[in-house]
Amino acid sequence: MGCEVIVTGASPAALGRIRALFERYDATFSRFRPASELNRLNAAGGGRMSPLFAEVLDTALWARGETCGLVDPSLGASLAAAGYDADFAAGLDREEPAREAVPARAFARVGPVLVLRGVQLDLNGVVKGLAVDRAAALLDGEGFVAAGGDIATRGPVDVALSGEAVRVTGGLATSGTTRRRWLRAGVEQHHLIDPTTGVPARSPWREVTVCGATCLDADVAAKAALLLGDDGPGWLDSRGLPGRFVGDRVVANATWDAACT
Amino acid sequence: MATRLEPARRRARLAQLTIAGGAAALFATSMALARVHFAGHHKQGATPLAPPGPLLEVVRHDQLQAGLLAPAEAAPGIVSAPS
Repeated sequence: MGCEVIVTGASPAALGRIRALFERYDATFSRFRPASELNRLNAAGGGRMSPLFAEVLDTALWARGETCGLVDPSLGASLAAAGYDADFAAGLDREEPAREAVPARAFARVGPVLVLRGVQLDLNGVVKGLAVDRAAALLDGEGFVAAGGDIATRGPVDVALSGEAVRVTGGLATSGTTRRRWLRAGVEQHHLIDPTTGVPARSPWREVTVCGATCLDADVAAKAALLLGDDGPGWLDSRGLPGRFVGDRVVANATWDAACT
Repeated sequence: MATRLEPARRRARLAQLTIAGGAAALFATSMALARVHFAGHHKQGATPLAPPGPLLEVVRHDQLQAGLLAPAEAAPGIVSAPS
């Protein structure tokens, strides 16, 4: 998944199962492994899905519904057009400009069969959060699983943020534009795409951290809150979700403040 | 003899038509009254049952769930960074 995975509270056997779980998710949903099921279905314009793929697609559609379309699984072509067309380790900076944007598009699912008709799926908006939650369920006792800063806990865990530390039970995720950034013809690009325009979103926030019952809840809400810009803190408050926003200044929404003061 | 049988047959046919017509009219009236008054009878076309909008909104609203958050009590064991 292009990130470090940290596990505590796992026996050697549980650790092996967790390693196998992440490997299975990466082999199925990677955009950069030619043989992944995601790439096979995108290239073929759809086809029959494995049960795991169908389950994660359903989760992605749930996330789209929960966020009024902000976290959308049909933005694979937009990401590639912006220049995120290879593993980050390979370096993405290029002299040529980003290609024409591709906004979110409709696709169909008929039972286990996916009909894409040119749509390029990218399920990584939910894959990592889901994998972290599943891995945390395999822990033998209290502990946590963290992948690239997205965390699922079994029991309370103290987590450091930029300039603050909090005690979390459940999930915590930080979405931001500071880490996965690259240049196309000197113009900065990042991986959080605005589904209405198909280009990297403009937001006053560089990072949004959300605490959720699960890592998936937190990750989906953090992405949506960042894309919502100034409306993000209120949107999280209306759902009872604590959120911390880092832009030119650090802003905690009312739910976060109520929990941490 | 034939002159007396023919009017009798006509009266019998008339009586049969009258009874059949009356029965049909009675049946139609009964059905109409039943449609209007009988509690279990459909008065309008059936529509599928659906939960009220506010309930759906509450259900949707609650699907993204918050976790437990509090001030840290010990040195952090992990760092959350943007992904």
